[in-house]
Amino acid sequence: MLLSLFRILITALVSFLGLTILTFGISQQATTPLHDYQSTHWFPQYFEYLGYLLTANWGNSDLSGNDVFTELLKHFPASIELLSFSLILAIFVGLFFGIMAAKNRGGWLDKGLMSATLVGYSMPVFWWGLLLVLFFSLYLGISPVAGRIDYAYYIQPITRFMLIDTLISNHNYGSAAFFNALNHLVLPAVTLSWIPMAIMARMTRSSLVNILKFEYIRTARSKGLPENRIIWIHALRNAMQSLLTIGGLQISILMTGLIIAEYIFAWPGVGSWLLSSVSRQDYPSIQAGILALSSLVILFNLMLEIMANYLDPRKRRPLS
Amino acid sequence: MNYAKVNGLSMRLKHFKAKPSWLMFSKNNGALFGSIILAAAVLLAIIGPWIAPFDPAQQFSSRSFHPPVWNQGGNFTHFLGTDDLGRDLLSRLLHGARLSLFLAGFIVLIAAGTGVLIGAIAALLPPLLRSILMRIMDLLLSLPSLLLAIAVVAIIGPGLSNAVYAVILVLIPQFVKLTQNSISQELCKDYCIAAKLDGANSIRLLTKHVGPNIVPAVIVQLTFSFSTALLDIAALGFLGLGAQPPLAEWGTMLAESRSYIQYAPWTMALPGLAIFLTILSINLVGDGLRDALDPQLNQ
Repeated sequence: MLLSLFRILITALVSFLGLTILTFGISQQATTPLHDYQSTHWFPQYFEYLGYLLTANWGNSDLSGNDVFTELLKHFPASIELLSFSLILAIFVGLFFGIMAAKNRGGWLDKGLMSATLVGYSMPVFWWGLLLVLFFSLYLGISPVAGRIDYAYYIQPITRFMLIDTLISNHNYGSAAFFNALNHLVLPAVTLSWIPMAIMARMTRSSLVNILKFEYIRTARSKGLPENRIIWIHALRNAMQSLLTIGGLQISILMTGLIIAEYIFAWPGVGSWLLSSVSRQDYPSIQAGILALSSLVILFNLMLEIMANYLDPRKRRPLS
Repeated sequence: MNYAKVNGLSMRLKHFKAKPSWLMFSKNNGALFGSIILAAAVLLAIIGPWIAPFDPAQQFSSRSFHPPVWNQGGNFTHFLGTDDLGRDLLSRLLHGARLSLFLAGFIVLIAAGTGVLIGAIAALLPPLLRSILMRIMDLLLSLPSLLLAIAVVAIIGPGLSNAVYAVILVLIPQFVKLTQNSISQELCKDYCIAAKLDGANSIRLLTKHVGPNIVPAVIVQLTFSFSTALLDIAALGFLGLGAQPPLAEWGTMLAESRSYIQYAPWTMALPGLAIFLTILSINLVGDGLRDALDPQLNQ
């Protein structure tokens, strides 16, 4: 167990090192050098760059001159908030629809849900976001178009997670501020969780349909266990493994969606910051944005690997 | 050598039994539906610029935001209406179809060619070098394709041709990984060992024996990469990093329509619908092909 954990950590570390080579390349494009390098050759410079990264010295922006790492920390919580909300939405709604479809296998509900998910995973995120804005914000008028909270509210940033800040900071808006922030969060989250949700539902359905044919399920049925217990406890536990294997793909889809959704909804997160840095050719910021978003992907994959390892003892092989 | 030739031929026959694959594909309603839409899209991409009623950049300044024919005030002159500058939307969509589909096809062919070549070379490399190469590919694969494309565009600058290079670079690892994996799986099989014993060198082994057997997997990957390429080019155009206005590209058209979605929802709905239908049809065809050609991949 420990050895295989070690292997997983090493793999993640190697990925991270590879990533820093890419971002080092980007940082070389900056008009003024990012750091005061001691050496002149790029190869020792790279190791100095790694040292600077570890000490949270990520250079200063070409345009504003601000420290890039502080800028990043300002934008990071907004992205995490949106990402985690969407992830939860995708997992639970996807699971729910997948189970509904598997329960009614071959029925109209199953067919309808599966056609819907097929349409769902072919939906371009940027178009889907615009359609949602058109319908919910402009036509129905029930959802705000952009931003994290209305300008009428001023919330002192503490954690920079708007949902938490509206609850813990000192203000006299009452719960209205919290619900306003939540309302701002829903549309971007639905936009970006749509495709992962569709994939989740399809995978849940197909793996459940396979598992429900197994004999231990028949045993559970003949013991007289309630159907819900069989599905949620007995079958789902085994379905988790195949769901975890597509987790990496899901994260990568979510991250793509995050950049696009932040752009559409003017969400002040890392994705929109990265895009505006690209259009301003502010290479230190681009470097920081790509490093942060990619590290997030690597971190998620690491967590998935560890979970898969925990769930499936056969995966616990040592160094290979 | 005669034996090897016969062997290669029989391998090819075994995996290209056109009838059963075709039957499986044609029984799949979704795949049939998808291929009809895709065929229509390809046809429109080929003949579109000739049947387009107007020049895609021609501005009818008196007729901006002319509604499409099914809306009140629409007429058949501008069947799908016009955009903010009074450009005919149907003509722009048809030109965009050629641009998007041809670019995606070009990207996928280049990426597949390069990727398969690198993958085949990787299969011949000594284990240590191969595993280093594959780790790099794993890293590139684990990162979201759009994020990588943005990174590449950030280095070489925005613009359509640079976006194309970026997407090509992003798609190559998929093919490298697929080719290398399939080749190393095939090399363990009996027919490869037999061919080796028969004196086939590694080049011959790869081209004559293994090659035909990995073609189905590559074809399936081609369709999915085609949809990724189309989507990424459109997304980069939408984000202002790919095709620049006034070029009629679907993603760029969507980006231009953003400010007017309330006044002129059709300028947003139609380019998006074009992207969506194309992606849907490719995915349906890809699913059908996977089920028909490569039953092992279908879990």
